[in-house]
Amino acid sequence: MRQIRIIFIIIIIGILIWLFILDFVPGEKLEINYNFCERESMITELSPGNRLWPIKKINNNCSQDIAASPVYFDTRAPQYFDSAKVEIKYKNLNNQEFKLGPQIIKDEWMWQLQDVIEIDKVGEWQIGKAEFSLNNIYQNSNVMRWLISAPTIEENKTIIAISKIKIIFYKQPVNFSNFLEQIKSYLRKTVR
Amino acid sequence: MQNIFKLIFIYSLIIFFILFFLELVKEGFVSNHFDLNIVLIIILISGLWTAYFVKL
Repeated sequence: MRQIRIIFIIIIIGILIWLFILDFVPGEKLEINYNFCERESMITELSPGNRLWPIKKINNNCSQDIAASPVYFDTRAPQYFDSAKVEIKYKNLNNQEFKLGPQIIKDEWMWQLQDVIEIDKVGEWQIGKAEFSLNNIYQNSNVMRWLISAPTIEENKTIIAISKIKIIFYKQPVNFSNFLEQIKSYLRKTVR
Repeated sequence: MQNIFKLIFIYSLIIFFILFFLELVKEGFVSNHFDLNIVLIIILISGLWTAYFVKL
């Protein structure tokens, strides 16, 4: 019976270490994917609902139409990151102005918006990307708010459909020289 | 067998409270990577099993 107790304790410690490693992100990147079919814990659905059409599912491909701008989503970033790359699968058939970016200061109307640049096309879907430096972005909170801007779609009575959002956050990987610094910044984010 | 389920019940209850507390302290620490409902299901099944076989 004592051996079983020891096994359970090892399992508990193992789960805690595993969760800490995942949350601390010792590597150089953290990838978050949202395909609109299933909810993701690290990224929210688009909002507010009155500017969006309901999510459509066609042939296992889910998408959502943006009818008015701006719309928002939040990501949960457990660590401080230096930069982010966003890849987005979208349909902007009328070539409307289309930007996105993170909020610079929490609760302030300040955004680091970048044009979504088309890099590829898969059928009628476009693949776009945008890159951001996060050095000036407020990161003391777990939540990072993002804005998708397409200011002309409502006026032109058109839509932009989005089918996939992939965000890759980048930072310096943990090594001997920056280990303490990264632990400190991680704890600072935990305490706030 | 009953004792093993009792142990599973006790330890899964402990891990549930630890993880719940950690999630309260740092939102997303647990829920970003792990569904806490899994532990709740284990607690429920092992608790029911333990209660069913308890010697009166």
